[in-house]
Amino acid sequence: MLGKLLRNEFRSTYKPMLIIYLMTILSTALGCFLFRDSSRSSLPDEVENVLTITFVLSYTFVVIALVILVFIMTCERFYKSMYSEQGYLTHTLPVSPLSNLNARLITSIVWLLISGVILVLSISSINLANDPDGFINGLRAISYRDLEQGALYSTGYHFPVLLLIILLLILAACCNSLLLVYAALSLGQLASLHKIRAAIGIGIGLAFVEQIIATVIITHIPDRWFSVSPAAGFEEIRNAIIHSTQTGLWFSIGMFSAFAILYYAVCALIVKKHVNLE
Amino acid sequence: MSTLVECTGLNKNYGKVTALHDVNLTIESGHIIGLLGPNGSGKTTLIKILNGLLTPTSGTVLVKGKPIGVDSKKVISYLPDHTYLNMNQRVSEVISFFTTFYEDFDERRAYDMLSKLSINPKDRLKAMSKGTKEKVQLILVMSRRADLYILDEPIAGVDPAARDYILNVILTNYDASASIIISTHLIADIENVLDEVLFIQNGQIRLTSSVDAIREEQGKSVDALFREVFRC
Repeated sequence: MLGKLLRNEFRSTYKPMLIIYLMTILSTALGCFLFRDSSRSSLPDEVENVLTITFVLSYTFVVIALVILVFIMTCERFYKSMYSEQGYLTHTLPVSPLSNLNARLITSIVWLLISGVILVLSISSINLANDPDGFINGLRAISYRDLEQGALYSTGYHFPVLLLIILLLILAACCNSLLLVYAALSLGQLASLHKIRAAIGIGIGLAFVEQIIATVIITHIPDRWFSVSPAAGFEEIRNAIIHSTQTGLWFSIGMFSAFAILYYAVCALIVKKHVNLE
Repeated sequence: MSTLVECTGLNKNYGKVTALHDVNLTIESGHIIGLLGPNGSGKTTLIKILNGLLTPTSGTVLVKGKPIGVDSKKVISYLPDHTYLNMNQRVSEVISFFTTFYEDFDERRAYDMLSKLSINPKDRLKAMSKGTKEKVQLILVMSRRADLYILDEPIAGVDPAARDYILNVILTNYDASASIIISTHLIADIENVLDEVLFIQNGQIRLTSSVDAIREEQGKSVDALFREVFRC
């Protein structure tokens, strides 16, 4: 049933997402035109400047819209389909409550990751258009060996491992943010009145508590973990930096994941036992 | 005849307000039951609990011997008292959705009913009138071959001519072994189709009786008895 739910979720959400992605692609195309190799431009400098400023503003707007709007729309979809009128259909389908929750979570994560990829491609395309030779030469100049050395030098991990860790971090951050909002909306719907306001309040509260707990843990990490003696050599300092970078990466993944699991448990408990479609 | 629904000691509180109090109820298969009561009596709360949309404060509900869950949702076809579909969808898309998720959904039956009502399956729900939307929802619900149909105020928002049509749709599209619970306060319009009535007031079941017994023993119509019991 999860497969059917996922198909339905993608079918119900793809249209607005495509519009946002299309806007980003159009803005990128415009950016590529405006930022193309300036030596080939035939427009007067003043016109070129006005066009550039206008583009930078609209591109910034589209980029912000891409990230924020996709996030808001996935959360809105969750609320509408789970706890508003459409919830009457969702919760009377012969599927388990967890399948309903998982389908929405997986779909949202996929849209957010696609947004991230589109964003990276968009910025890269504009860079490529602005300085094609520099961009291509820059890419050519980076060899796998350089990447491997850079990764080992700064983090102590091989490049593929570092890439996987970064992907894991992005995934954990996505899950954490989405599930925080899902948990807030799920708790908010338990209120008899002002469910949305309650959800907003709870969301702010959860984010605040999460930050406090993270700060408390960080401040209680013993100094000796990262400290080096004044007489330390270069290698010792480098090791300390690597150690702290690794700790930071895993601490972030751990914190994001732990809270994501907690929020997921809250959502699961509510959709299983406390749906409140008054 | 077999037991479809069994509620034991069912209670539901909204904060300090009691919506249902110690409801004990058994619904057998093969009946059309009127769930009758004034506004705020607990009809919709009871219906939502049967459909898993609300969690009871205490008590148990069994549908065909099993608690509310995936199995109970497979056998209950529910019509809420308001529109609950995605208004951006076309009717054909909603039918496809129902076909995907409900094994007992009869697609041909749905398209037949749409055709009889001259509703274009390609139309979007948001472009339809309130009455047409309600008819589409009723068609979807009655196109399932369910064991229990629960219809919350199915005729409340439509004109008298449409009421006859809706009742006709209900009566001609359910299997004799199934049961229908119809919640309404428009009793005069539906009492001729009912086998049994449940009067509910202040969250408690006031009366459970067959319609024939009310007529024979009390010499009254259900409508007359309702007005007497719930006189303000």
